[in-house]
Amino acid sequence: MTRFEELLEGKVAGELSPDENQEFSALLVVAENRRAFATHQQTVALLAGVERYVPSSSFTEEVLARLPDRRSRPLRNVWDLLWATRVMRWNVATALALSLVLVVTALTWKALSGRTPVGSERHSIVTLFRFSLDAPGAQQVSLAGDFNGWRTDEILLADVTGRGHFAVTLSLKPGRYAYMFVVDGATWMTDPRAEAYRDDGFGNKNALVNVEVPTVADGDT
Amino acid sequence: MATRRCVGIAALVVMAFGVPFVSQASAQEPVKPGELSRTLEAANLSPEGKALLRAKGIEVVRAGVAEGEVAGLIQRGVARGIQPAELVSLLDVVARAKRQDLPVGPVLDKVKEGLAKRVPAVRIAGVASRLSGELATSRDLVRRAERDGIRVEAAGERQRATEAVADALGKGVPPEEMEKLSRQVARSGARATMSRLEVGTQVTADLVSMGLSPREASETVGAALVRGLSRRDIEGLRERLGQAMKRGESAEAGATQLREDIRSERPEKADKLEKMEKPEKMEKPEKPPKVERPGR
Repeated sequence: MTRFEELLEGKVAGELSPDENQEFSALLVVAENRRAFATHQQTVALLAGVERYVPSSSFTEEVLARLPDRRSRPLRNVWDLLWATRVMRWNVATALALSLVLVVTALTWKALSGRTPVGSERHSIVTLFRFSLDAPGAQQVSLAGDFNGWRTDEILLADVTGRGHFAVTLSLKPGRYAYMFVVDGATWMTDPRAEAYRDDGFGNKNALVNVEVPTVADGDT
Repeated sequence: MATRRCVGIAALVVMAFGVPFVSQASAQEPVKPGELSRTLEAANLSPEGKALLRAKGIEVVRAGVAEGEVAGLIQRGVARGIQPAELVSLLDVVARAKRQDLPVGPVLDKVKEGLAKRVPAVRIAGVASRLSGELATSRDLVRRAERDGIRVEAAGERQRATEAVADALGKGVPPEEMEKLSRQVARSGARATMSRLEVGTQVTADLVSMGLSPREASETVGAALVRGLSRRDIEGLRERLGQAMKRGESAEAGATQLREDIRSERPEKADKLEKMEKPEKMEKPEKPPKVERPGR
């Protein structure tokens, strides 16, 4: 800062002593100093016309109150905790242990999801159907249908009277099933007492059984 | 920064759901790996025959049919002495059905039935193909029914209805009659459900097999549907027609009488019964099971 600038600052502030005032007046001989002084005077006059804002006594408190309170944002803290960059140290043993935990979890989940709850079996729909056929002289009668993939060696009927009255009781899920009897492993026979029939497309007639809600059972036993 | 966070979120989601999903998926997979290979290794076939069946088997499994089912069909076919080329034609029918997104269960059952009854493979393939065609027609009809407002309320209803309609078509009920029946169900407001279409279709097919013409059968069932009779009452139409026929009436006369009776019946009783028949309530029977005889 030059001497003239120091004196100019004091002049504008009205703080110059008489000696300094004389010195300042002397320096005004220089045209450049006069221009600087004139510019400063214009600025002072301009500022004098501006209304001065006086803040209230609670201004500082009000500003602070409007600032976001970082302490009352637990979610933000959790978010920052989750996404803060960290350096993870690992080794093969830790990785193997983690893999083991994942495998055990998967196997446990599989075992649990594959197991039928004890109670559900008791409450599942169980409709027992008795299939019977009079086949005097037959050695063996079996039952094949949609319910067992048409396997002829799976469901054997018992000769309950010893006089050729073959019967078996099956538990079936609700649905509609086509079936036939197989006598002595070779002869396919349609149930003569079925509730409905359907051509099998191969020249025979399948019997149909309609399994409904267990409470509607009213057939013979 | 945002991309890194997105990747992080995706990783967290995969970690949270990945393990249970993978383990559950493996728990639901009933197929034993290598079942097809083991069946073919054990089969008494020429290497060419095995190769032919292996290629076709893999193709069918890739189409979405369970490997166990494919292996089972091959095993039965070989046991029945069916030639590999004929077995391939049977597997082709199953694969085509699966690719068309049809319920493949009835097609598989029909092939198994044919093999069990020792029917020639060519005939089995023909019958199974016809069944596939009926299932395709039936699937389209059921889709239209859904678009017309018939609601599917429980899992599996759509498939059961599709199979029931296919069965009816197989019994000679023309598609137009099925469409008519479907429209009658669709117009029944709150009762416009897929299970009612299924039962209506089943009973129509049964009445046809009892000797009624398809038109008379669908009109009789349609009258019951429009009247709002319960599922059980609709199923009871078979027995009522049977009783009329036992009394010596013709099927047509019995059906005419049935329709007159239906028009005079009160649907209020049906509402109560309908509520009891909801599948959710059927899951927990309170009474012990009774024994039924399929015949009358």
